[in-house]
Amino acid sequence: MLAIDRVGMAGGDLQDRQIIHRLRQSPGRAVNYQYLVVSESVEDMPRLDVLVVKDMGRIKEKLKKKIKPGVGLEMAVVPARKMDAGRWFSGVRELYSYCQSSGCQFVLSSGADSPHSMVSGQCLDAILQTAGIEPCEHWCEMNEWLKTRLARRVRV
Amino acid sequence: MTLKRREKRRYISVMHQGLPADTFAIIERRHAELFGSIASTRASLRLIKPGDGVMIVRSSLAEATGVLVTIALSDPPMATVDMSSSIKRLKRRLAKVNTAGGRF
Repeated sequence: MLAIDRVGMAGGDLQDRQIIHRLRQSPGRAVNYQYLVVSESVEDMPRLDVLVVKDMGRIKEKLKKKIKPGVGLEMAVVPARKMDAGRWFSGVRELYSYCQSSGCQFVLSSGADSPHSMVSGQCLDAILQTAGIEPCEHWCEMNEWLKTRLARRVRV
Repeated sequence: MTLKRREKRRYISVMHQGLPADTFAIIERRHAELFGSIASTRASLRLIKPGDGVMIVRSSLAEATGVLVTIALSDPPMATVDMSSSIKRLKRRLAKVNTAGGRF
């Protein structure tokens, strides 16, 4: 209904192949569910799939030194609700162009922790358009990246 | 003779927490903050159907993208459930979700 194809959730049946779990640490063994390792710290770079970027300006220099091509750089919508949206949009644009030049994948997520803070697919498209990013192109790239990233996992 | 064409509109259902009137005021204010008062006037936002938990808002087609961005970037958080060009179709879709066991 919210045009969300894949969602992550805590607990429940881990074996559902359609759900991609966000983990803070790699399970360290072959598992029967799909996951991505997500972190907010650049120091975790060697072993993570997605790095959450809160402030592009502050993290930029560290990123240049430690970044590995193929990693997802995520920007969440939640902080933009309480901050100057202009600054947030310029962060989105900057991160997107950085991803394009460094071979990383730009990830736009809702960052939701409640049903009301979820962001529908149409809204995500509108945000991308406002930031000057072509939504179709972005979702195709995202899909390809996700496929490649998940295919590398050893599964039971 | 010239044809007077009505501007195309979009009806957006929004899942919210507080009172519909308050939530609508938040959307109007945030839209003006984000896109300016000219765009806000052009959006011709209207609260069409205040409901308990889900309300329907009308906007002009030209500014629908901006309104969706506004809803996603509003605080307290609210979520867009669906969007349609006619209120009848939107209500039908919401009713379908209700009968399917959804909460709208």
